[in-house]
Amino acid sequence: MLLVVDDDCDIASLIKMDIENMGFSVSSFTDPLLALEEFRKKPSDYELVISDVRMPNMNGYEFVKQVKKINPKINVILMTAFEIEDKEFHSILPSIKIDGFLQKPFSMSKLNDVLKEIM
Amino acid sequence: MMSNISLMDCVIQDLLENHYVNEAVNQIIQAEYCSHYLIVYPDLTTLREMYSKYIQKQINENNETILINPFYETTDSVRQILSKNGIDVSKYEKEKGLVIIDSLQEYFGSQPDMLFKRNLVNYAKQTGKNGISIIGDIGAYPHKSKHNDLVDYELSLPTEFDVDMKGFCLYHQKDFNKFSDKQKQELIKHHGKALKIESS
Repeated sequence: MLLVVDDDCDIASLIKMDIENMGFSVSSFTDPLLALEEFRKKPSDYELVISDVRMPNMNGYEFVKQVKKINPKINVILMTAFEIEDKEFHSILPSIKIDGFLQKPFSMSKLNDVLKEIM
Repeated sequence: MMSNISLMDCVIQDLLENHYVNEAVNQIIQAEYCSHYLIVYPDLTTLREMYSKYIQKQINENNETILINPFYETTDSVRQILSKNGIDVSKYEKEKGLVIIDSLQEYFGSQPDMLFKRNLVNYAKQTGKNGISIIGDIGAYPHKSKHNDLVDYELSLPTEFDVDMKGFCLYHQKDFNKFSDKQKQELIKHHGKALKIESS
């Protein structure tokens, strides 16, 4: 099962639909705090978390950090339409392994490739 | 009995003027130069509706220069939204009648942002514009967990500017919720007007 979080509901829905078409089960959220609550309830149900970076309430780096605290073995992908700021990224996630990055906008074949590589 | 938290929430709610998008746009269109407003928006869809209506009016009809600093969407996304709403983005960008800069760059870039804004006002006046409107999403600060720095920055700005500039500070509702009650009150009271936009 996959967990997707993006504050833009159109993007979250689109990604959910595309991943479901690839045959995976997906829970999608627009609020990282709600996504975290869901993940905390059943961390072993999820194999992969895909998160946006710029989100109100909690940014993607912090979200991933919290997710990894709950389950250090969870695979995570960060996606963003912006350049990843190295300094900021490393200061928040100094030793956390990120399994993939997706530069928005991305094609479904790109998403498919990344998922195949990780799962 | 009402709890302290909800009582404080009520006090803060009372300090904010609640409007749907069209009313909010009317409010900010009527703002005079030198105004400095705080605007709390509920989501990106509502924000897009608000800024596209406002910019269309100000740029096409009121001969104004616009500086917009998005945070939760890219500058290209803003261009697309404005184009869809009938604004000739490339023409106005070329003329510097429309300037779109990412909020992170605006507030944390190498150039002091107020100096840039003052220069933009001067340029606008030289090119025959009435003045400028700045629509700045402050999301870059909460993103960097710099809530206190943002309050300091806001309080360092005047309640009314001394040049032909209107400043609209945009706060996503979820970012605004992260400030302490004291900070929320300080921010609201420091701005000339504080609006809360409701989802349509």
